[in-house]
Amino acid sequence: MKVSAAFALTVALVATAPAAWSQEAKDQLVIARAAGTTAMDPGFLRESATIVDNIFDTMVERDSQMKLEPGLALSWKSINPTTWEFKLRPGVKFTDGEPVNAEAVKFSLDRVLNPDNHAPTISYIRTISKVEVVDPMTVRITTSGPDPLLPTRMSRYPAYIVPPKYLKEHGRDYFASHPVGSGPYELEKFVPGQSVELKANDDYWRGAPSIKTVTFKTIPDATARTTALLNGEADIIEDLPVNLVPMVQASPNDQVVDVKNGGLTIYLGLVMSQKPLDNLKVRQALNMAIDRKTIVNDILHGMATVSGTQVGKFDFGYTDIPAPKYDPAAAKKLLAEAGYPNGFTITLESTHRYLNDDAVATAIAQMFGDIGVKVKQKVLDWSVYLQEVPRKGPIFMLGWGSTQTLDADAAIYPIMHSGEPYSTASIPELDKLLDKSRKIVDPSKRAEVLKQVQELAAKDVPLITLYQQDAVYGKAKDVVFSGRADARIPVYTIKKQ
Amino acid sequence: MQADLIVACILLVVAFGTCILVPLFWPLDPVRGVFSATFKPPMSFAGGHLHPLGTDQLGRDLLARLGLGTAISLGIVFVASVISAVLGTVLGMIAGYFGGWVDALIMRLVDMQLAIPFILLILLIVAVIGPSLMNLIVVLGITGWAIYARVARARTLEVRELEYIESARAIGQRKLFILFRHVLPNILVPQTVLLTLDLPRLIILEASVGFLGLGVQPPTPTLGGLIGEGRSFMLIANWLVLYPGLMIAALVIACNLLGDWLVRRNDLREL
Amino acid sequence: MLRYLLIRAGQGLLVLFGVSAIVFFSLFLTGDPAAVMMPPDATTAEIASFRHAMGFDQPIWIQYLRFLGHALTGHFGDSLRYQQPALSLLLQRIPATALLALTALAWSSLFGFVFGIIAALRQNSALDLTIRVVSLLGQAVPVFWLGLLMIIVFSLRHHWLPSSGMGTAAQLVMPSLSLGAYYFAAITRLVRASLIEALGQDYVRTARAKGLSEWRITVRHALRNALIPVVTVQGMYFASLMGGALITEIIFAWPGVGRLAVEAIQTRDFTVVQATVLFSALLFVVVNFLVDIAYVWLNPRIRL
Repeated sequence: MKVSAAFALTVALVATAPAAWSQEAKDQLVIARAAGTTAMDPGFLRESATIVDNIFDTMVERDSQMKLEPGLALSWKSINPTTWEFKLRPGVKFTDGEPVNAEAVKFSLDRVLNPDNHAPTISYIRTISKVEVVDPMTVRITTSGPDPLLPTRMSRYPAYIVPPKYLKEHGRDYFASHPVGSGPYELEKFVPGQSVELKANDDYWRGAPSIKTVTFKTIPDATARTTALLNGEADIIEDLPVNLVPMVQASPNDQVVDVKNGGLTIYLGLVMSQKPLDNLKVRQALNMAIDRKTIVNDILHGMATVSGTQVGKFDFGYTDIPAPKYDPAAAKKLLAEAGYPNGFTITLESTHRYLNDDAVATAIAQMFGDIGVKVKQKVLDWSVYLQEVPRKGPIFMLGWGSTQTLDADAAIYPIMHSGEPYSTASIPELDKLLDKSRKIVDPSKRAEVLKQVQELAAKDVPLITLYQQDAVYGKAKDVVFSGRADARIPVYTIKKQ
Repeated sequence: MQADLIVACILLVVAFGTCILVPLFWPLDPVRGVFSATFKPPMSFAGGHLHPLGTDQLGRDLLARLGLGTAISLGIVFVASVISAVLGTVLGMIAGYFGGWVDALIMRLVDMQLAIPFILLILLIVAVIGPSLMNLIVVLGITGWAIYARVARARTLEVRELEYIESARAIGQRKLFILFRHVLPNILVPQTVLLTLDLPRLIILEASVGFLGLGVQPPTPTLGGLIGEGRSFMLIANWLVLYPGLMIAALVIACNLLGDWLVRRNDLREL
Repeated sequence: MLRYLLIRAGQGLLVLFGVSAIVFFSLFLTGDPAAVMMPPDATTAEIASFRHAMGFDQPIWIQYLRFLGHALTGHFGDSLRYQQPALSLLLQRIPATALLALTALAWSSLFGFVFGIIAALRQNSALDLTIRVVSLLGQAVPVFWLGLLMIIVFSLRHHWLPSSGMGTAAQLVMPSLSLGAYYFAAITRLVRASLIEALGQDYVRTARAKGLSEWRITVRHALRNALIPVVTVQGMYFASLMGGALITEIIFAWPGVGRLAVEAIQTRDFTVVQATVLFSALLFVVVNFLVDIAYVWLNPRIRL
C-alpha cells in the first residue's frame, strides 16, 4: 500500500514536469560543452574562446574556408617589414553605444601587452612593440621584428576589441562577468561554471542573427553530454566521444558532424635527454612499432587521419609526409643495432583530454611490448599532467595544433625547438632550420624552409607523430551547422529549420 | 537468520570463485587487446574464442578482466582495511587506556578525519602524490582508521575497569604490555566484525575513486577502474559497466549480511 | 548539559582549525600553481611575474597565516580560475547542493522510516523480506552506477526525464533518487533493526500487558527509543552524503558544491578547494553538534 503511494508520488512528480527540457522554438539554441565558462574577459582568457567569440569581434576574421577576411578592420597592409596599418570599419558600435574606433583597438591591445596586467595569453601577440592611433579609423601596429603572422594574430584572442569607457568605468573583474562587445550576441545571463545565455544583438554590423537566444551549458561527462543531445536537451554538443558516434548516427533526430583535420595532432613526446631516447635508432624503432592504421580504424573508428607531420592540412607550410610504415620486425632489428636486443622498460604518460586517449595509450603500450619495450603506463589528470609533461615522461602523449594561427610555425616550433617550454627534443640541425624559418618574410621561401623542417623531423624523430584528430560534434537534425577547422562555433552562421 | 548466512556464502563463493579461478585457468589475456574484436556483446565468438561477458574497447575479454580486477580490488580493500584497523585499534586503545590529553588529542584527530568527506580527501591526496596501486592502498588505509579508533576506545574504557586488568596494573605490569596482552584480546572480535562491516564502504570507495579515473593505472583492471573505463562506453556496451557493478553489489551484500550475522552472533549491538 | 554542549562546540572549532591546516599544507605539495595557470608557451619570466602577483613566492607559513586570518573573516581570496572571490563562488553553489541533498535526505528518511517500521512490525513476512532485499541492494550499488543506469532507462530509452542540469522539478528526480538510495536503504535497515529490538524490551511488554494499542506502543514508546541509534549515525552519514553528492553532481551536471570542488582540485584552484573543504568540514561540525543536542533530547537517561 505504501509502496504504491510512493510510486504514485513519483509518477505525479514526473507528470507535473512537462517536457520543458525539449527545445521547441526555432530561434533558440542550446549548445552543450565539456568545459565550464569561468570568466569572459577576452583579453584574459584561460579557456577556449568559444563563447566570447560570439560576443566580441576581432579586426581580422576567418571565413568558413579559413581564409582571412575583414572583421572590424576593412583592410590592412604592411607598410614596412615591422609595421602594419589597419583601416577600421566605420559606424560599428559596442552594445553599450560606444563607437568601435582606433582608440578602442589601442586600448584593447595595450591592456593585454601591459606586463603589470599578467595577461595569460600575452605570448600570442608578444611580437607587438607599439600600437598607435593614426586617425579615428586607422591603427598602426609596430612589431619588434618582422612578423608575417601579425594579421593572423589579430584574428584570435587576446586580440578581441573591447569598449574602453565601459571597462574603465566598471573595472576588469566586473567586465569578466558582464562583458560588452560589438559581436552578434550580448550576454543575457551568466551562471559561472553552469551556463551562459546570450541574446541576439539585432544591431550587429552584419545584420541581425537568426538565432535569438543561445545557451551554452556545461556538461563535463561525455556520456551525459551525449545523452543530453539524444534526449533533446541540447541542439549541439562539443567533443562527441568517438565510441558514441554510432548511437548518434542511429538516432532519428540527430547527426554527427565530423570535421576532418579539425582537431589537434596527437604525438608522443620523447624526452631526448634521457637514455635510451637519446639514441636515434631507438626513436626510429619506436616510430615504426606503432600500427597507426589499426589505432585510427579500430580504436578511433576513423575519426582521425594518420599523419607523418605535426603540421595540419590547413596550416600554411603543410608538407604531405607519409606516416612511417608499421614494421615491428624492422623495429626489433633497429633496437638490437642500438644495443637493446632485449628491449628496455620505460614509462608512458597520458591524460584524459583527447579522443579515446586511454585506449590509444594502452594500445601503444601493447605495440611497444611487441618489440620488447616494456611500458609502464601512467594516466594523470590534465592539470597534473601539464606540470609533468615537459620534464618527466620519458614518453608522453600530447596534442598540439596551430588553431591560433593556422601556420606551421605554431604547430612545430614550440615542441621541436630545443629549450622551448614544451619541447623535449634537442636536434641542433633542426633548431637551425627552425630559427631560419622565423627570419623569412617571403611566403614561398618560408614554405620551402618549413618543408625542410618537416622532412628532417620525419627522419630524426624528435617526437613520434601519431595522427590528427577530427573535431567531432553531435547535433540535432534541424540545426544547420557544419563545424569549422578552427573549432569555433559562430552561432551567427547557424540556423534552425 | 540462517538464510542470510547462506546467501552471503553463495555470493562469496561466486565472487571468490571468479577472482581465483578466472586468473588461474581462463585462457584469455586480461591485459592484451585484440583490436579487431572490440565491443563484442556477451556470449559472442570472436577470433575463435567465446567471450561469456563480452569484450571491451580494446577487444579484451571482460571475464578475464573481471576476474583479475576483482582479485586486485579485493586485495587493495583488504590491505587497506587491515592498515585502517591496526592504526585505528592501536590509537583507540591508547586513547581509551591512557585518557587525559592523549585521549583528547586522538579523539580530535578522529573528528578531523571524519569532518572531511573521504572522497574529497582521497582525490586531493591522489592528485598530489599521483595515482598508483601503492598510493591508493595507503590513502584508503590511512583515511579509514577513525571508526576503528572510536570503537576500540569505547571498548577499552569498559575493559580497563575489569578486575584482572586492575590486578595486572596492581602487580606493576608495564602499560604497553597490559594493553596488548590483556586489552587487545578483548577487543579483537568487535574490531574484526567492524572490519567486515566497513569493507562495503571501502569497496564502494575504491570503485568511486576508480570511476573518477584516479585509481590503479591501466591496463591493470580493478572493479572501480572497469566501471570508470566502461562508463565512457556505457551507452553502446552496457555490459562493461553492468557486470563489474553486479560484482560490487554481490560483494557488498555478502559483507553486509555476514557482518550483521557476526554482530548478532557475538552480541555486539553497539557496532 | 550546557557545559557539555559548550565543550563540544569548542572541540568543533579545534577540528576546523586542524582541517584548515591539513588542507592548506597538503595542497602546497602539489607543485607550482603558477605553471598550471599560465598557457603552455608562456616564458619563464611571465610565469615568475604571475607567481609574484598571486603571492605564491612567499614562504609557505606566511601564506598559511595570511590564509587563516582571511578565512576567519570569510575572505578566501579570489579564485584563480573564475577571477571571483572563492567564497562568493561557493555561496552561489550552496543552494543547488542544499536542494539536492535535502531532497535526497527528505525522501530517504521519510520512506526509510515508513518501510523500516512496516518491516519491523511485520517481521519475517514476505513484505519484510522484500523490504530487506531492496534495502540490501540500495546499500550495495554505487551511486554512480545507479545514476548511469537511470539515465539509460529514463532518459535514453523512454525520454521521461532530462538527464542533466537544474531548474525544473523533473531535473531533480534522478539526481535525488540516486543520491538518496543509499540513505534510504541504510535508514530502513537501522529503523527496522532498532525497532525490533525496542519492541522486545521490558517496557514495551509492560505497555502491551496494560492493553495499549499496538500503534500507540510503536509510536509512543518503541519508536522514540529506536530513534536514538538512527540519529547517532545521521551525523556520520552526512559526511558521506556530501561525498555522494560530489559524484552525483558530476554525473547529472548538477551545478553544486561537489562539482565545484572536483573541478577546483583538477585545476588546482587553491582558494576554491580551501573554501569548499572548510565549508564541508564546517557543515559536518554543525550537523554533529545538532546531533549531539538531539541525542541529549531524545535520551533523557543521559545525564551530562
